[in-house]
Amino acid sequence: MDMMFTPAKTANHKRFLYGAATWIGGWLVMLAVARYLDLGNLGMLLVLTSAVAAIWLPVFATLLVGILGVMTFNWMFVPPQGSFAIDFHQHTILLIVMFVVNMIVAALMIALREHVKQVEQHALAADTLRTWGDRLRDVQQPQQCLRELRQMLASLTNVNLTLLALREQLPVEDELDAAILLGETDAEQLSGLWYCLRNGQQLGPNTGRYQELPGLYLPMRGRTITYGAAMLAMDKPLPIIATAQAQALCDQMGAALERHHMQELQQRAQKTAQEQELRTTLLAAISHDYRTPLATIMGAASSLQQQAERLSVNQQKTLAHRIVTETEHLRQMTGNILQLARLDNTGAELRCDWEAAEELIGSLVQRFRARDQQQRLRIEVEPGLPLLWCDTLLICQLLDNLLDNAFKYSSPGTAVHLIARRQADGITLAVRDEGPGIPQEQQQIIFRAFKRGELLPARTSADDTSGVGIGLALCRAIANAHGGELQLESNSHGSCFTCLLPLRPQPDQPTDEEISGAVLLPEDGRQ
Amino acid sequence: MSFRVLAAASLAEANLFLQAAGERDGRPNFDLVLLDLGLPDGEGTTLLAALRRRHSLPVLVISAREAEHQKIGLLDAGADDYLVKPFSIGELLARMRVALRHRGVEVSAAVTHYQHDGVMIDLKTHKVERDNEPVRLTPTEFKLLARLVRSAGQVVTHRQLLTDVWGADFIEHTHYLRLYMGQLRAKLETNPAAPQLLFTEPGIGYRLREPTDA
Repeated sequence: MDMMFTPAKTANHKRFLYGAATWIGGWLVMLAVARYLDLGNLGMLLVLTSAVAAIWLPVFATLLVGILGVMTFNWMFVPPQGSFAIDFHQHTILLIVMFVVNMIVAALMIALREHVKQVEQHALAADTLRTWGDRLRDVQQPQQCLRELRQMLASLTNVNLTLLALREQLPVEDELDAAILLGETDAEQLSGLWYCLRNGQQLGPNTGRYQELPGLYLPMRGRTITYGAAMLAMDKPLPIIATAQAQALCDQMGAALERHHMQELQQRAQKTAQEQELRTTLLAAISHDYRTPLATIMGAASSLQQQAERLSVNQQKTLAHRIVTETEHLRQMTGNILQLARLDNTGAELRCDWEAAEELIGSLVQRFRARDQQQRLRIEVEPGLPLLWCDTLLICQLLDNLLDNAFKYSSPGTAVHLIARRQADGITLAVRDEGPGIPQEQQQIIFRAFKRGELLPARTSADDTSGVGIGLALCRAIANAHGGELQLESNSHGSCFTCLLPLRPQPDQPTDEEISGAVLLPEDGRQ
Repeated sequence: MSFRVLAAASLAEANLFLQAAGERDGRPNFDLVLLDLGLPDGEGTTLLAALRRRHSLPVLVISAREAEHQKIGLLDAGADDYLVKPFSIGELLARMRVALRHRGVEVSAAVTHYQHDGVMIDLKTHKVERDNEPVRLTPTEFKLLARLVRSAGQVVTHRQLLTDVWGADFIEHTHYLRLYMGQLRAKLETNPAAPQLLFTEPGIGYRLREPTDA
């Protein structure tokens, strides 16, 4: 019984010591005062000693020493002294009274001790439960605490035990893959564990269910479902209070597992909802923004197919050109949508490398040259810019979109500026046009994917506005993914989109000593 | 230039064609392979690997996959070039011409001497001139330029350049390329921010403009 909450051994020794000291002290006093006091008063001293010693001594010792004390008292003080014989009858009554009083004191002590022990046990149990609860709340994965639970239950019950806990949902069949098994079991115990887990009820001795089972099975119950079970290989029934405590520990684990499971379900549901939303917006965009260019292509292509002989060579060329332009437009929009979906999907990683702003801009110029027949593009790159740490393709896509918009929404013949500058806190890449500008109330809306500002194109047909919102939303997403930002300044003289990219500590530059096997130029080559 | 085209709809068919065509002077009876990656019976990359093991037949890869690391991987695996769908026929023909010139019969003549728009590079004599004025290059700059000249018109990946100029230990040092390409452009280009000669293929590598045939 004492295996749970055993008080420290040293305390036990002390209790014996105090008890023994009391008895020795009592006897010394009695021997010292024996000649001055009559037998009745002397007997009172013995009763007092016994009562005081009972505070410390265990019950059996109190009883034993009490009986021994009364007998010794009889031997030493009751006439005739030096024998157990009793001369006077009233002395018999005295001895009986002393004996009975000793018994009563011992019985009271038993009751008191039991009570104190129970209070202590309850306090300790409550304390353990509270610490355990805190511990379970603090961990991310309650499954990590199963080992601790096993240790706690083992020290509580001193028996071998096995735990079974679900990883996620309850499987249809008893599959070990779906659960964590801690400890050793045979087939029967395992099926017992699964039964306990599925039914959420205690099994085994003193539980009212399957009493003949050799072990005690405790479920780890959550609020609604059971998330695990513990099997305690008992050979004799566990005391009720220990069973209750073990069950409480298991239930806390069950609650923690349930909380964790619910959180995971919620996160999954949120992610699905986000993905669903993204998919819906993408579908909406595709159905809306793809229709216009597709209609143009369809129209031009069917004209060429059915009426080519009635069209002049120039008309045919115009139609073919329209098909190529719109196809290019579709291609760009598809790229933007895919990239936006990738960036919006959290966890998309950037492929960063060191890049020179001059080179980024150079590669764009190269790409835009064919479209820029009127030579509208003006490049302004500050010399000696530090290197950027960025995903080249994304930054190119950002500038490509900005340039594309600038060309579309400003009058032919006006300049489009592509600017790279050093700032105090980074490098800015900017595209400035000399178009009509964007009205104040539209300036935020245009960055939302699929909600385009009602732009009035200076030259182009309304068809060409499709996909602008996707493009700008992507530009902003790219800038943000790099830890930078995309800003818009616009007035009646034009609009300027500025992408600020933060700077990183620059990499080590090569020195010529680092380069092995360098080819030396002949003297005449160097001049 | 006109071509005779044999279209294979699967990897198996392509292998059959290559076998049936036989070889001529140790080369297969084809001048060029256009390889689409997604084929019904497998990945086009397996054919690329098989082709590269046997001969130096030029291979142009065509695919709808735009991931740049895949492009780099294919170029490093021996593809001559990479075209992402959709592309124009004009672009395809231009890339085919470049690939043919590089793997063509008169290989050695084309790669040691380079001339385009006032810039002359001679690898044999280590001479670089711009508008008939000699250009002074550091040894590293020259090595880098020479590597691009040998593959003029074709993309050379960052990895290839870093390996060939600095050594295999330097394949992560992309910033070296940024620095030296900047210096080369400053010396050879009229406007380094709008290059006419040394092109950047973002995220992949660099390309020296095709030489003018002269």
